[in-house]
Amino acid sequence: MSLADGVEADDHLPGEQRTALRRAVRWQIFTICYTAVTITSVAFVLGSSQAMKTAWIEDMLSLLPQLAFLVALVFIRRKPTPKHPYGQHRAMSVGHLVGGVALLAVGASLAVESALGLIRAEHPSIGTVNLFGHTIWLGWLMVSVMAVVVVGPVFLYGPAKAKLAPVLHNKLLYADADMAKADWQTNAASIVGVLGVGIGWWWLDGAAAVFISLGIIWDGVRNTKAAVADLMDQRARTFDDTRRHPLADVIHAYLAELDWVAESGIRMRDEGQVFHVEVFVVPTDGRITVDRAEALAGAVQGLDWKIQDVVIAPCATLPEHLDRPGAEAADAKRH
Amino acid sequence: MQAEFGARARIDGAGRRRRPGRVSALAGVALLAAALTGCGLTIPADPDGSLERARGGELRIGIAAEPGMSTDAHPPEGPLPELGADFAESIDAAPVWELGGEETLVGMLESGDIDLALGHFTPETPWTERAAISRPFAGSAGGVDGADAELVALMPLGENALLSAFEGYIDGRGLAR
Repeated sequence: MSLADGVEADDHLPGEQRTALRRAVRWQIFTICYTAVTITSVAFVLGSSQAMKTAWIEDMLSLLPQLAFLVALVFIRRKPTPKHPYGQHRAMSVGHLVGGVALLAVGASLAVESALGLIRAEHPSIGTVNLFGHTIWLGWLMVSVMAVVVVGPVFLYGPAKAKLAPVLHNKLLYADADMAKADWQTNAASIVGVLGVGIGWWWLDGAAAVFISLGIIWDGVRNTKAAVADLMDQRARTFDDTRRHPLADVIHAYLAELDWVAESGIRMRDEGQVFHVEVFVVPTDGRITVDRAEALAGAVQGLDWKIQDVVIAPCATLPEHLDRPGAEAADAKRH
Repeated sequence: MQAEFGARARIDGAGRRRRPGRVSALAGVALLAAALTGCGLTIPADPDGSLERARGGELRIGIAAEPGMSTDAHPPEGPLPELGADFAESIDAAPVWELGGEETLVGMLESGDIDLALGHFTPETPWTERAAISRPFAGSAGGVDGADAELVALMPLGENALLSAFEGYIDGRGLAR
């Protein structure tokens, strides 16, 4: 058995990833500042609209992925130690999980609150404000604020982060971008709710609030599911969790080239941004030297920056559950 | 090898559009807003039509008597009834008076028996769950405490046209705080 030492994320990042990471951090900080402004602006025009309140809480929740990302960055930089022999890359998945569960819990509580409001037929009261000597219905301000603040997530940082996430293979960043890009639904729903109250359809506000909370719950379910799957050591999948990660086949292709390897299979798990790989080999003559094992570990690690930790396990017969070449088809059938 | 994966991933990121038409959806909402305003709908409107009913008819005003603000005579007298009558006039309505304690008035607002409740309701009023609260306005000069208290008026929940009319009235009279 041979083990290639795990390395510090930053040391090993190729230029493209290093730049992407730096830009991702900058976008996260921008997002936090932008969202802080949004939360403050919405607070001024909240009124007693349930849809506005729900959208407002969603804005606050949307800070979670950014904070989780920035906090996790501190941990994933740390080298493996005897106490943390796999490094601390899982911090990214833990952040992902915490964000998902928070979305789920708050979304469910908002959905119940909004639905109860509808059942009790609570009529939302939206009064006026005096702006420069004019009496203006607060609803118009709500609509304007919601229409203006949607620009950030939908046109600025949502697409920007969506471009960076695949480069970094960062699922937390991807989920964050995906939620930001879908933010227009929240804003559109709250605008519809407020305009509904405007024309006297009081129930439209509660209905919009229910719609927004269902969106939050859906985000929570998706994020929790994805984070749990990775924490449960499922086989590494792409950043958007749509398919088995193609890097597995790159490793298989490399192993197939080696004439001293009769049969091989791998276990590759996602530690959050980086992969840990165990390579099981059946040597042709039943023997493997330390040199060969070490060379193989080094070569597999060199295949891609995401491969951070490689263990070579020689064996007489391969265990059943390993990932084999061409597992893509079987995988596609199951998902 | 690395560049190849980076490139493939990027195509994935940019190529998939699972939520199309966000721009058109926003434009639709804006259009809807414009259309609603354009076709003569008043915004905000009352779900139960309080303001519409009061205009040219009666505005039912509940008064919670308070020394210095309102007597408990019928019709009540004092700065608060004067304010109520003046507001009624501003929307072309005749005031009809109901007297009662605060909770009675709040109950009447909920059951739709009165349109407006005036009394010693301050911005800290605990009735926010059961009634719509107006913006604060200057109460009776020389009231109970000799101070011009900051008061709010209570209206039925969700009757936003009436609420806006009242707030427009206090803005117009320069009473708004």
